[in-house]
Amino acid sequence: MHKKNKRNILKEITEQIVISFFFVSIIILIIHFVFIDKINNYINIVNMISIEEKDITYPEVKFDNVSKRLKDYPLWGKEFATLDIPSINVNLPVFQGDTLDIMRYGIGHYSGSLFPGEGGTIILAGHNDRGFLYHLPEIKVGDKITINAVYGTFTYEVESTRVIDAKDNDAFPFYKDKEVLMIYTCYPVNTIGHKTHRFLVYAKKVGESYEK
Amino acid sequence: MKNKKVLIYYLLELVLTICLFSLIILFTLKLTVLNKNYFIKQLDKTNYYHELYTEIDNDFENYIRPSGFDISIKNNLFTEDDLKEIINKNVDNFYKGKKIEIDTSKIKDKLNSNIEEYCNKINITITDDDSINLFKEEFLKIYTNRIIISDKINDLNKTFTKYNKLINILFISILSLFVILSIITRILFKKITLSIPVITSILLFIVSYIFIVSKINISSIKFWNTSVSNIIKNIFNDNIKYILYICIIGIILELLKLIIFIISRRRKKRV
Repeated sequence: MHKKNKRNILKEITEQIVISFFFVSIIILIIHFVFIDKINNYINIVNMISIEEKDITYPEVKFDNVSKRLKDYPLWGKEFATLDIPSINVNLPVFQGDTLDIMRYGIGHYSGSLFPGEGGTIILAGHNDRGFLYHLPEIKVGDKITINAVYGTFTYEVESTRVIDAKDNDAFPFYKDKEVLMIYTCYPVNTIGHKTHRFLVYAKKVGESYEK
Repeated sequence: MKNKKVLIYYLLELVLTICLFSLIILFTLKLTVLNKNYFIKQLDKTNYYHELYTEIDNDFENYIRPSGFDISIKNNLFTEDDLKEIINKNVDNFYKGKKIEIDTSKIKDKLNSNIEEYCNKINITITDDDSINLFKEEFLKIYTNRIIISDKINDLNKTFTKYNKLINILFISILSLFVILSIITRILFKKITLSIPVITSILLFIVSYIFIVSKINISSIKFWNTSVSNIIKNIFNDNIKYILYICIIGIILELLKLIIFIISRRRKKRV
């Protein structure tokens, strides 16, 4: 009897475990055939914010003389050039990106524009305080501007200047066939309060030399 | 006839399993994401208020620089405790389905006072009121936008409230169904056993855990800032932890049931 009882108990436990595994299989199959697309969508959404930090050595910024394009672009927030305007005593680092955080340290390069040497529109921005672009409104037509990038040196000559509304995006035409440097800062520079205008400088390329 | 009875029994057990599995998930959600106190605890735990204070202060500085004002006009405008009070009040509003609003009157008065003090200090008279008023407006927008994160927060609140109510109704409905089906099983089959639902639920949770962990790298989640990333990670991990505790309780209860069953059989035998 004792053995019979043991056998009965074991039989019942085994039966319950087998049934449980069977139920798990059915439920997983139902979920797979009915909900798998939705589940994968949710997983993809979560994976978009799951960013692994990898120890990668980023390649140096280099210029391709054939395609006239950079081979590897500067990382966001990284310095890749200096801006030199001797006529108004400006010598500032240029960083990739133009957020307010980046512009605390120098000139920001608008990432939607091209880079010096690429033959199109280049847009740089800087704060209007002293030590930055406070004296930009004093720049004159014909003044020289030099950008010393890690891959080459580029010289520009001021063609014109304008005061524009802060929301005037048409003041920044996007050229692909001629290299135009546009530098802007908040305007007016010597008032306090919210600046509703920008002082914009247009300069054409007059010289270049590339790093070997 | 016997086969039909066996089929009905296992169908009932399958439905009981689905009910138990759903109840456990809903219960852990109610303990975590749907629990206001849990969320406020996470804000404290991840040092959210300090990080937010630093971000707002940084944004203020970035905005002041091109304005011509001195950085000192942002001094003493608000404290971490002020932020904590505003956020806790709005979290409470969020969970109650009320509108999210940020009262900027206190910070506005202090800003006005700081600007006046600065102008008196450097001996200047403001002639362009529009420019200054626009400055103050944008300044306060920075403060509000950082706290509420998105201007869609009130729309999100409506959706959240709707789903919160739905989950509560679902929980009560599934619990009622679970109890009723257990009673029906007892009446029809003269036994009430939840072993199959418990074991199946535990197995399903193990499979789900392995699936989720293989598809998502929870520890690498980065969203908005460090605190918010940590809150999201904690929610994931706490849900998994509570489910694990419930599974362990389930296993212990099953083992206890087995021990009691063996002991009662032995006693019967002796009698």
